[in-house]
Amino acid sequence: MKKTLTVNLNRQVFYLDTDAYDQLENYLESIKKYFQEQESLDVVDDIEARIAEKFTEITGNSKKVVQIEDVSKIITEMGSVNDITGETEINSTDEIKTEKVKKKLFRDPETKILTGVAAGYGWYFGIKSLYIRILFLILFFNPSTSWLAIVAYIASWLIIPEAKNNWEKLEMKGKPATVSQLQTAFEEKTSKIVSSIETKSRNILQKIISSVLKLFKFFFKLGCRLVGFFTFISIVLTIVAIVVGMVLVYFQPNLPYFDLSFFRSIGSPWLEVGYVALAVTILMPLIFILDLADNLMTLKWRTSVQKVLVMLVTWMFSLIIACSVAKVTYPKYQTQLNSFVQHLRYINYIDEANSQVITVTNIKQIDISSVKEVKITQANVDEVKIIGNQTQIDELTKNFSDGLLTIQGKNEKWFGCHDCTGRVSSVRVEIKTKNISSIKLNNTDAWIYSTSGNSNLTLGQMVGVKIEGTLNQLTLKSDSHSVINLMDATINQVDAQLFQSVLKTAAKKIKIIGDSNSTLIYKNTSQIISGENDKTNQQKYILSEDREKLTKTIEETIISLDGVKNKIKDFNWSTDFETQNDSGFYNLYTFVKPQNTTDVYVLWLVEKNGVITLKNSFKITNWEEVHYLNLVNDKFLRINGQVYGPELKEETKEIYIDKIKNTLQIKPILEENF
Amino acid sequence: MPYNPTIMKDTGEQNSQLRKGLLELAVLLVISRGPVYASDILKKLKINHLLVVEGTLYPLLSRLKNEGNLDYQWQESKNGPPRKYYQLTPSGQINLKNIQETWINLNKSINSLIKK
Repeated sequence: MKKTLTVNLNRQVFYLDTDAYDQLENYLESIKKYFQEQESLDVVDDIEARIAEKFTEITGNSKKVVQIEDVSKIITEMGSVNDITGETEINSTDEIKTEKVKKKLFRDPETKILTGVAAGYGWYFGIKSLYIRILFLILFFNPSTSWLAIVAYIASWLIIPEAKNNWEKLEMKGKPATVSQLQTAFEEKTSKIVSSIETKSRNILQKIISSVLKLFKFFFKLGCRLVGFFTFISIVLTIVAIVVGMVLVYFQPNLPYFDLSFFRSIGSPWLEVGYVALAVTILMPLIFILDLADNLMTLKWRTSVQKVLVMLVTWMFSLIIACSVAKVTYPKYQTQLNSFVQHLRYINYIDEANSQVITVTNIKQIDISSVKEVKITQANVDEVKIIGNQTQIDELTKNFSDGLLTIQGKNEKWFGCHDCTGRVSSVRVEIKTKNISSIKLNNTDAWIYSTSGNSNLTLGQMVGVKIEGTLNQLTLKSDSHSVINLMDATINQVDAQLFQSVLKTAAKKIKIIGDSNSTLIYKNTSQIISGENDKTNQQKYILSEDREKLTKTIEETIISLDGVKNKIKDFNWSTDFETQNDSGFYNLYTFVKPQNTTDVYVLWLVEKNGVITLKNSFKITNWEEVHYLNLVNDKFLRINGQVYGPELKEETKEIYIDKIKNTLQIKPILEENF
Repeated sequence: MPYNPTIMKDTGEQNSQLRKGLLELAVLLVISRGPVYASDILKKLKINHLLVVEGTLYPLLSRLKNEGNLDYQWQESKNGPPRKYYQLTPSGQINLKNIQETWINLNKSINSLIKK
């Protein structure tokens, strides 16, 4: 069974098979297109008339159906556009062949993902449609331009016509409108039609099944394209990130987490060779995946065996080179690493044996930045002492004039890391003064002991400050990333301005204004007056109700440290711990110091319904150098406050330690229950 | 006689160039014998192996008409729609004469060259 179409040709009616019709339509279309440009449409009428005549010869006025073979024969007799034009327009033929068709904007139904808009623009501007799609996505996902992307896309979809036939497709692609091009396209289409005809006879059930299959096929293809597309984009971004990262690492030494100064000791050309080999080893598999994603996205398999082989060989080659370089340079690297560790210890270590005194009289203001530790005690004398290695003391900027004491350490910021403290001078500034009314701190850790009076505390970035003693009123301003602990101080009133900071206080009256990245942790005896537009998170500090009972439970808990299983009390436990309520369970932090070892372990325990489990443990080998520890976001352990996490949020857990020589004692932020 | 386009195509580029040049003359000659319609012209040209594909004729007719060499009239046919009957215009007749003379002269010269 075949479908038949009725055709009116030169005012005569003929019956054509669908395939015959398609072929004829294509043929006439090509003719029409050509002569339209030549502005001689009467030729088309003449040719149509002639074809009608030929049809009449075949059918002989009966209702005989014209077959595809008949049409093919007639087209051969009439000649293709190429034949026709080639014979009449002797001179202009060559011109037509080389002349590019003026590109027109169409939607491309063949390589479309949604409606073919992007594909159409791709053809029009002569670039891969992928870039158009990325552009649309970038515009779409950028909140300020997403409306533009949507409007532009829908408008394009409505305005731009779809390329329906071969001529339009050629115009869309801007291919030279040689007749042979058209012929190729025409033949492709014909062969498609012929192959589809074979499957055309079917009953309704088959039709339903086939349309379900078609739908399935459509969504499957769409899924493939989308998966391919997003894989493609993510791989491209990954490659860009790796390349940019590697280039930065090469040209910028002293990055926080990947310091190439180790590798630099290897020296040229090993460094460069090894580095490039490493890059290729990392990138080659990504490029392979990129190629596969490209196949998936365009639904065309273009990865040849040769290509894969080339990639594989390149990859193995670079892997071997990278390994060889590693093998050759390993001893040198190890030496370098050892000396670097020494260096790290040196820059983090405060040399207690050496100190320098600065002569001062009557301090009125204190401004200290970028030193490791500051200790300010309110006393009846004025005294300033800097403790640390002489080189570190020498690099400080020290000044005292008109009652203003300025001490500035060296602060080497790490490249590209805005929130890192970087390296600061490893000294401790110990100040004794009558007057603590004006203190300015930046990028340091400070401990302040006050006996009376008012104080004005201004904090720059990255300050960890703890105040003890008695104070009437504290006016506090924190610029960013600071933790202020006033829990152990008796203070009447605190006026605080917080920005990205955490304030813990048990003051009687708290006036607060701050941003949403700030947290106020207060005792429930405090009176809080929030300023206008105050956005701080405010939370009550709760400790486990029955500390004694909890202590016993912790002692009996069996944990395993480095393969040794024991009760916590048998691990030489400090018996001090800090608890933090976390909706339904408690986080407990404590320390153990196992016998026969110099290592110290920081334990993170979780108590839920009376059962205690070890969530994590951190081993610290250089305990002597530890002054206090931070647990940031329950993941990172920062020693001596030298490195803070990227953001100081309410999750930041803090544990201060007081060390008396050779004994371990933990002093939690809060000691009493309330 | 059966028309075999493949054989005609095999005659090569030079022959086809030559035919292209002469086709115009041939068409003018056929039309000069009185009003004819396209299919008649095709028949005559095919018998004389002057045409590779039929489609070629129509652009040529169109051009000759635009140049003022021919004219056509619609005439009813017995079985089918009206047909275009072509005939030469006076200027077309003059042109034909000129081309004809050129051809005869050329023919003579070429023939004498071939005979030598």
